[in-house]
Amino acid sequence: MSRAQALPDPAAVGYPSFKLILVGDGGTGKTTFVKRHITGEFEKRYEPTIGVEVRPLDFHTSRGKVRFCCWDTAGQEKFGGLRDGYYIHGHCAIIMFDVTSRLTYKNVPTWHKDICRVCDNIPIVLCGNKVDMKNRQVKAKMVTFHRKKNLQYYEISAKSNYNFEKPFLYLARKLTGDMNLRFVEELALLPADVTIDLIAQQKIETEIAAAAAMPLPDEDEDGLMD
Amino acid sequence: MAQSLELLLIQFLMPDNDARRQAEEQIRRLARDPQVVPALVHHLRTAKTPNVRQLAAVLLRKKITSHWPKLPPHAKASLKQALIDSITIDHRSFSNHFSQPLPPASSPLPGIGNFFFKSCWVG
Repeated sequence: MSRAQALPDPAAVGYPSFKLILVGDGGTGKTTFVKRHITGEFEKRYEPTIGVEVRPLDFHTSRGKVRFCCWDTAGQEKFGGLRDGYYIHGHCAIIMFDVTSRLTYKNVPTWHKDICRVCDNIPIVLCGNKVDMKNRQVKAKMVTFHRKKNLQYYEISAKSNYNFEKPFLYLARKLTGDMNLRFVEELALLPADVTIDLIAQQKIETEIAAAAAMPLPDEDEDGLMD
Repeated sequence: MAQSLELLLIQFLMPDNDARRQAEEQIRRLARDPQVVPALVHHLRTAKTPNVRQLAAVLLRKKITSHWPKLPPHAKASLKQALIDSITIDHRSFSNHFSQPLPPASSPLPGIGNFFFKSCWVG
């Protein structure tokens, strides 16, 4: 999909606006992530999202201003609302899991299937959140789903702002068809809550890049979900 | 129900949080009535915008199984035909929602699902 048609919107802004669907298990940090952008609010206590909350995030790019209408969905089943009804006419998606919880990574294929059932062939980013935490359970080399399904993968830490812009930059490039598009202004983000060990994280990123050059494992639990 | 439901479906798709929540609440209420099934089939067939037709399909998939036993036989027959007719007109709105997975025999979908599978592979 190149140059997706922007949304017709009664409150339409005068620049491209894309519907971004944000999904993943409850507690993986979806709302915290989307609220880092200064247009949002600060929140420490976990409050499950009910149904969906649409949060517009604006970015200044080398091609002018771009808006992502982020449809931040409930991760917990009991608060799911009309669930995949929220995905309709999504231009792009982010699937979030928590690297300190194996179950949230295990459920990624289900989220992916639900999105793909409603949205044909949209760019999707997989995010492993909370990489600032010490008790990591989903090791870098365990993360292979994105390679099977041709998704982009980023390790992020919402609370430290680590890699916050990467998913949006990737999606903006895909949707505009301009792979040289850049963000031209410093993002207005809330101050970091925690510090990430950048040296340790850089080692992990190197592992991920090395793993990407290796053939995919033939069989694992993810394969069973396909 | 027909006219107000279409407006609610349109409102549900808007990014305005308050408007969408109001629409969702009303859709939930209407969805308790088995008559929501023929209403959704109607919008799935006649709504002007593809997004509304797709939303009708999503909601129909959620509701049709539980409501089907409560519908009178003549309604069931005409709804089955309407659904089969619709797939040849607007393939995409339906195929992803009804071609997988096949639901229990008590629902109308086995026959329709099989038709959709065939249609998907041929189409």
